[in-house]
Amino acid sequence: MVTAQSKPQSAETEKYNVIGTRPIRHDGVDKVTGAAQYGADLNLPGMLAGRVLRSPHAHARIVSIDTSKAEALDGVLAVITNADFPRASDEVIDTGEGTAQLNWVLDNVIASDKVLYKGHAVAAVAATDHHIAEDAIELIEVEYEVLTPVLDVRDAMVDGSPLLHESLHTGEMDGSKSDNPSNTASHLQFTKGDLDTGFADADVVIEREFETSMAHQGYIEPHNGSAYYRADGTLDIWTSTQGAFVVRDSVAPLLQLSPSQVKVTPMEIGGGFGGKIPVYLEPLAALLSQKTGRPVKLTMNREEVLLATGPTSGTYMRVRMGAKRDGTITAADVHLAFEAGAYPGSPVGAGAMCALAPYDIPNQRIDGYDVVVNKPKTAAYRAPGAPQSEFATESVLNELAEELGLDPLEMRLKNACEEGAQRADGFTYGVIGNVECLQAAQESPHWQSELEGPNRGRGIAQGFWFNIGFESSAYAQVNGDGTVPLVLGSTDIGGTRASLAMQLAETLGISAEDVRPHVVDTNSVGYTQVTGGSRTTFAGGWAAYETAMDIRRQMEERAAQIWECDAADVSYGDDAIIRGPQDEDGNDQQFTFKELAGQLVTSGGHIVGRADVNKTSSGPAFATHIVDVEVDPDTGKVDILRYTAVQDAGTAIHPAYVEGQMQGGVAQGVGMALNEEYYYDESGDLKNASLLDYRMPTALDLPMIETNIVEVPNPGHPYGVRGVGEVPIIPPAPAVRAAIANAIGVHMSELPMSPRAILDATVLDDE
Amino acid sequence: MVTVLIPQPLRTLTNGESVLTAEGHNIRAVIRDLAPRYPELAERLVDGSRIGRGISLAVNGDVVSTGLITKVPEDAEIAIVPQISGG
Repeated sequence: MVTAQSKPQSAETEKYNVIGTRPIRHDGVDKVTGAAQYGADLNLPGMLAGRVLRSPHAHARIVSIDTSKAEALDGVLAVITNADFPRASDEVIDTGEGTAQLNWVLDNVIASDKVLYKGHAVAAVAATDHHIAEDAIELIEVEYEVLTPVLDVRDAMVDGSPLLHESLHTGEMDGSKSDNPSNTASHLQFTKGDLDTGFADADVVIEREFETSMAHQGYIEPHNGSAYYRADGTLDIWTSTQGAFVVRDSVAPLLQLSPSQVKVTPMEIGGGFGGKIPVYLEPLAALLSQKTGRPVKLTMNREEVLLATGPTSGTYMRVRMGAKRDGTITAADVHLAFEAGAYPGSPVGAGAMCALAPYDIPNQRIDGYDVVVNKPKTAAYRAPGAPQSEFATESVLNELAEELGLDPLEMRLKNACEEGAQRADGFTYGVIGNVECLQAAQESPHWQSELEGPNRGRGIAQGFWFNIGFESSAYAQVNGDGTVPLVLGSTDIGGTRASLAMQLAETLGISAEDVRPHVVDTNSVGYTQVTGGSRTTFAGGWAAYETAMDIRRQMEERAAQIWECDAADVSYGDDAIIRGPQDEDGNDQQFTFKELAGQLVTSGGHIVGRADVNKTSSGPAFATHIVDVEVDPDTGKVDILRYTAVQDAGTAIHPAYVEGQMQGGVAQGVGMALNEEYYYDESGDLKNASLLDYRMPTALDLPMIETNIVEVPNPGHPYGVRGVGEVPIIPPAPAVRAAIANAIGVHMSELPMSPRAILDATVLDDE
Repeated sequence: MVTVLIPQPLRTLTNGESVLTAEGHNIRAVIRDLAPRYPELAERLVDGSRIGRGISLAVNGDVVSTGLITKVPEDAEIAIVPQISGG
């Protein structure tokens, strides 16, 4: 491995030896040479191929399923439906960072009495090869009673709308439930101050409505899940997942197994962005394997991924915001209705908490509604809920600035939250980099530049995301040559092998290259939460730090044994020199890390450090984005001319990966802004279930995205880490909307702002 | 003395009070202290050995990750929020 120090370290990281440098990722060679093993690469002796039969209807009652013809086909070894699973209760299980009701988890994996979206799994087959499995699912006869689908969040909330779940009642935060069943699963509300007073104090009030479409994470690797139920009652699962322990703790209760009977091996992952936290294929593969006694592999094709895995919510949102002439925001009233898909659990809660989070607004009300519709159950997608809610609020703020004739960046600075500010949900901020991001954007070459030319415009927006902590584990052994294998439970999506190895290396005072990180199965490391929520470099970093500190303590003790002195007289320095008291002859005694590592075997054995941490204080993240666009007035196509992303990373452990996260977030945010949408017909048929028609941006659609890493260290982490992965997806949509308005004078009210939508809006505007 | 911030929808359980004070060295102890005065709130905040369904508690701005036994510093501020998940 080679260290590439292509850019100087920042002022914050120059005090470190490893942190802030740019070592080549430990897993890089395997990935570029094709040696890395992904889930679909797995082939075991006797492995069967599985396929899933999916519903052609968006909403229908299952009258009957006849699997007899499929079972009779040569080469078919098992056919399963929901009825083959043990009855699932309504107990709540941990599903990563959240919880879910077990019977709804099972029903989403494979439908019971009703299908609730096109593509909903109805049956699954295991056969000796893929072609036979394909033929077999064609032989399964399902009789449906087709029902009217509910496809729009506002339609779903209307009294008298067809119900997806007759047993679902609207839950309030106080635990009460509505008398009548409803598609609105829950309602939450946050308030602060007095809205009437706030709006009365305002000189200008703007109210806008917004609609956003469901959008998919667009990870390149489709889902897969393989399982082998062994004769001794243990179950092995291999899968592409963001959280191996979550898969274990979801599958085990579905099959009524103990977690200790289930081992999950996370394979390399080709993207997730939150969409690879839920289980889809794993329980089916497990049950098929249980029935056949052979390993079974299931994979999805792209159409299945788009039809039947969890996108982010489509929404209807309404924002009313008032401000004084000097730009002081006096009041904001936010209404958020989020599509949860077929089962409750949209990210409306997080959306509501983020909606006004960058600003210290004295009078606020934020209402959020979680609403089921006949579309796939939504899943987390990079800062879940925040891109939508902050699109709405940031857009109205931009319009207020425009109406007041104020610089939108200055107006944000005037209202920006700082340490000690309290949000409507009750959180009080600690040390944050909100203002620092805005100031860095203000001073950026991009903001300072002139934008010229017809139909061109510039926009700006701010973003906020919480970041989270929670449980992570690690252990590491000191080898005789001074190298240190680091064992982790976190799936590496965005370079976390490197970022965690670097924190261990920094703490031990050795090089990143001397640490060898490995991601292992659930039987081989302590509990580790999902790779998500921008938590891994933070919480995993804590685990790596504590592991290294454990090693340091043990090495001090070992040196003391060798020198026959008290361990309290030995100190492990940050320079990786272990120093002891002078010997009998008055000579200094010291070991380098490698010298002592070389003596471990003969002085009592190897040293293993370990840690299991459960941390909060993850450090909120803020970002400021600037974008220049050009709008083609004839076609409605928007080209991104220039893009600058400013973000507080706390401390950038590996700046190249921080920049990569920022650029990736922008690319996905621009996709949501301009093109990406689930396009349904009135029957609930998704009409663009392929990557040809579901239009994600490519390298040809984007300029080089300029990045500016701000570092306001998080005091809740030994190296000041904040999460970096999620917040950059938030500002692109409102920034692009503002740039379009600046270019052609039209304020869009929907996402995506596709050529069709822009032409519709400009025609309407002309009329 | 710990401060507990009550979001609007839960004020039906606190006779309209938006800010409560309580004693306790951890979350469980704080809720036990509140229970005689606000039994419905205590019931909402606890589900067996867990924090109540669908909600999280934040102590001084940090969402608790160690459940009811999470230590609560003196003069801490506890907020009641929905569960958050990340991508």
